[in-house]
Amino acid sequence: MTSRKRASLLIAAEVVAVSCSKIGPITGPALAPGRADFSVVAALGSAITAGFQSGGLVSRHQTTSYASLFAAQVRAHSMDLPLIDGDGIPPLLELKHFYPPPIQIGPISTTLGNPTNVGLGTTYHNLAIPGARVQDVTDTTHYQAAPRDTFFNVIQRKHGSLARQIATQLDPPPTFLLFEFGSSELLRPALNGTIVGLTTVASFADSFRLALDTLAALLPNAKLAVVNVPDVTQLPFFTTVSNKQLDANGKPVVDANGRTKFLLGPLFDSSGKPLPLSASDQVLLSARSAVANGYGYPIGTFSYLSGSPVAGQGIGLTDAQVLSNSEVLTVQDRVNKFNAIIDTTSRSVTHPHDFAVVDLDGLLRRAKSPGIELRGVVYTTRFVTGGLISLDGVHPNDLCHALLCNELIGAVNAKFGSNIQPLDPLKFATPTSSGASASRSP
Amino acid sequence: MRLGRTLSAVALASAVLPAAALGAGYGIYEQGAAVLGMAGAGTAAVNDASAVFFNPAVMTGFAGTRFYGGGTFLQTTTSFAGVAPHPGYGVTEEMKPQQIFPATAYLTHRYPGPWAIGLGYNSPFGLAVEWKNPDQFTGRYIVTHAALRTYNYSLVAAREMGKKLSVGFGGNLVWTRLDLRNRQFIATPGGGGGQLEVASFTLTSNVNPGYGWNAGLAWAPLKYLKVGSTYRGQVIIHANGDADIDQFPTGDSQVDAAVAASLPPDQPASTVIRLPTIGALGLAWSWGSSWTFAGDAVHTGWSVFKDIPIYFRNSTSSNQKIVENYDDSFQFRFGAENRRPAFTWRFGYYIDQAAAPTESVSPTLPEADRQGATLGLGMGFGTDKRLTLDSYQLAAFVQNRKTEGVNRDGYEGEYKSFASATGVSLAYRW
Repeated sequence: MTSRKRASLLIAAEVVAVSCSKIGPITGPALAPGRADFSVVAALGSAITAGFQSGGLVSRHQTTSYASLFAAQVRAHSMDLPLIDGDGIPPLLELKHFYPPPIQIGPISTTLGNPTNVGLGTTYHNLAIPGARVQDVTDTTHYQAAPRDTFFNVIQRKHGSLARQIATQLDPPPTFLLFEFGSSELLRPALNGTIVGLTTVASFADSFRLALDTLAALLPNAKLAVVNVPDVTQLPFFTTVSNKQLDANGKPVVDANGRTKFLLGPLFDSSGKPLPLSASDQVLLSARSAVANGYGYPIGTFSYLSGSPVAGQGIGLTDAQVLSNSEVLTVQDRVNKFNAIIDTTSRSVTHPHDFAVVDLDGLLRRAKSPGIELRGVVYTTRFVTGGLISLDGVHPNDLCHALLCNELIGAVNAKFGSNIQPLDPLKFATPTSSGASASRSP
Repeated sequence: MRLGRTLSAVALASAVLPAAALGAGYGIYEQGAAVLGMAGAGTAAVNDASAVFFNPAVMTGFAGTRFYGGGTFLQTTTSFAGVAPHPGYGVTEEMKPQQIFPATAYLTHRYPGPWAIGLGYNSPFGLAVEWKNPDQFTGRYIVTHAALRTYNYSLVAAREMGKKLSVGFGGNLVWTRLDLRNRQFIATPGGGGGQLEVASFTLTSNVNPGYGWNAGLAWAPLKYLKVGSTYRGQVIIHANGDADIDQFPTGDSQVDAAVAASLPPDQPASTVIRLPTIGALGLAWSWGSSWTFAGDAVHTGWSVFKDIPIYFRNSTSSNQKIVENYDDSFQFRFGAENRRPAFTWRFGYYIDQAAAPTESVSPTLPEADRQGATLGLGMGFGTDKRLTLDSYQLAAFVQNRKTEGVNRDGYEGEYKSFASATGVSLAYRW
């Protein structure tokens, strides 16, 4: 063999070796459920689980709630949902304008959507109802209390308690339950700038345990995943509008001594003049238009929130537009205690309940700071631009639901020894947080 | 003058060719064909002018003036298979095969008396990454192209300290150039979290110098046993350059205006390039007149590679650090040489521990444990064999590396790499 042939053979061998070195595609593992059975997934909960976002409930977000995503990921029995068509109930908010600032948001339309699945003979697999509280799982007393009656009429449909419906009116019955309560108990008062009407810790504890006991009795073989309660005071509805007077560049205005000037609030001094807010008071998103119109700004100053100067009215913001520092601390304390009840119950030896705890609170805390990085982009809970919270400033958007689904998958895998694969969250991201078509807004 | 021309030519050849890391991290240990024929176990066994790199103390053992120069034809391939959540099962990606030729040149001279000096040029570190189809590559938000080139010039001296002991020391002037490219994404301004690919980003550093030192020790306690150790200090290079951001129009004027407001403009930028310490301890044992067996333990201080910072001169809020947090790593190299009248043949084996923690295994540097086997051949020419040609063949078997769901960039999957090298060096002694 000549040296040229030898060299050719050597090069050919290298080319073959290099060619063989390419890795083949990896196939996802078959679902191993571990100790759980995911054949029929059902859900009880509030607005988050229902897929409520951008101020309304509509089919395009109901089908992308974390509950729907989870059921699809575990290849569960197809979920029957209380679908609502059109622009939703109420009509969803959409982004009218975003650049240059200020952002403008308004309803897509004034036309209410219609429920399209009310004739379903069984109950819905996703029986979550916006505004529902944990006591509603077993207690039908408050189902018709306005304004919650709208959604109870569409979803609960006067077919009995939520626990009984989910346990007895599905065929086949659920083998795995998602359970999410506690947010409505805190949000309803807080959204109105008050803590009057907050559910007490004792009431939550009693209702939570009663709900779990009832479900355990009705569905003894079903496993559960319980979503904990987020710190609602850190959602953009409570953190977006500054409590400070801002100049035309959006910088805080300071006095001659360099001290920050705060907006005027609901309290008055002895002479009847409105007092400034404290540094820790939170102005609600619902006060945005009032602040843009000069409310909260003293006479002789200007609000630039609308994009042009508006003279200060010298009128303080109302109590319903502000969550005071003490109110914030009260709500946060309630969040911590509700979550402690969930954690304690999950670990109870004397009265065991076999459920995974899904840390929605932790997810949103991470999202607030430092943020959640996906493919080089950092997502936060910042209003609109953060990319995770819908246009009502409270409820998660589709992307955040996908992240919550992954949190749920992680908790379920850890608890029950299953191997459910995580979602690619960005496959569920949309151009706008209302999920409206791109032709409506970018 | 002749040597200067030769070194310049070699440097020029190397400057236009990217280097690929064949060892852990971005290290390149392929610095001499004879030593590499023994899998790089040359700290005690090196017997040519590549001692300038492998152990300068050994130079006192070379009579007269010696030249050793050549290069290695490196071929590397890397492919990737994705898993959930991103880029997902079934996705595969592939790097463009790298076929490159880092060059080396060394010259040593033994003076009458105890001293010897050496000059050298090589590329002890380097990296070349270029993924196929950069417009569709699923990891393009991390990197599409990365190149680190080093051009190292060494001046070393060695002194005989009696019959059995020599020491060597010297300095290194290392010129480096770094080139990083990726694609920039933003969340759509509409708040739904959808992403838009809005720009390409390129960081190109100038060719910046750094300085380091090295030292070596050679000890022959027995006639048939040699011990060597060497140490190369770390080199930190503060590299200036340019950051270029080219915006991709989306067709939506509001979006384009918002994107333009959020992207930093083209501007000067800088980074820090860290070349780690290398410490080696080696043994060489001669069996009869024809066999030498050698073994080296090499420690590389990769923990210096904490991050790749990018500092923008004008848009400091856009400064970033690509976190790496490498660990120190070891290589163990074993080789043998059999000298026959007509030729010398060599073989060797090495294991090379990965320096990248699992979190840092990324398309920029998909690093993994590896093993390599080498085979070498040396032939002398002429009656006194002043001219010698050494060659070697290396096959590096890189273990597949999984990201295990903890990758910092959220790019999960498994990398598979293969590398081979064919090297030739020409020796001449005066």
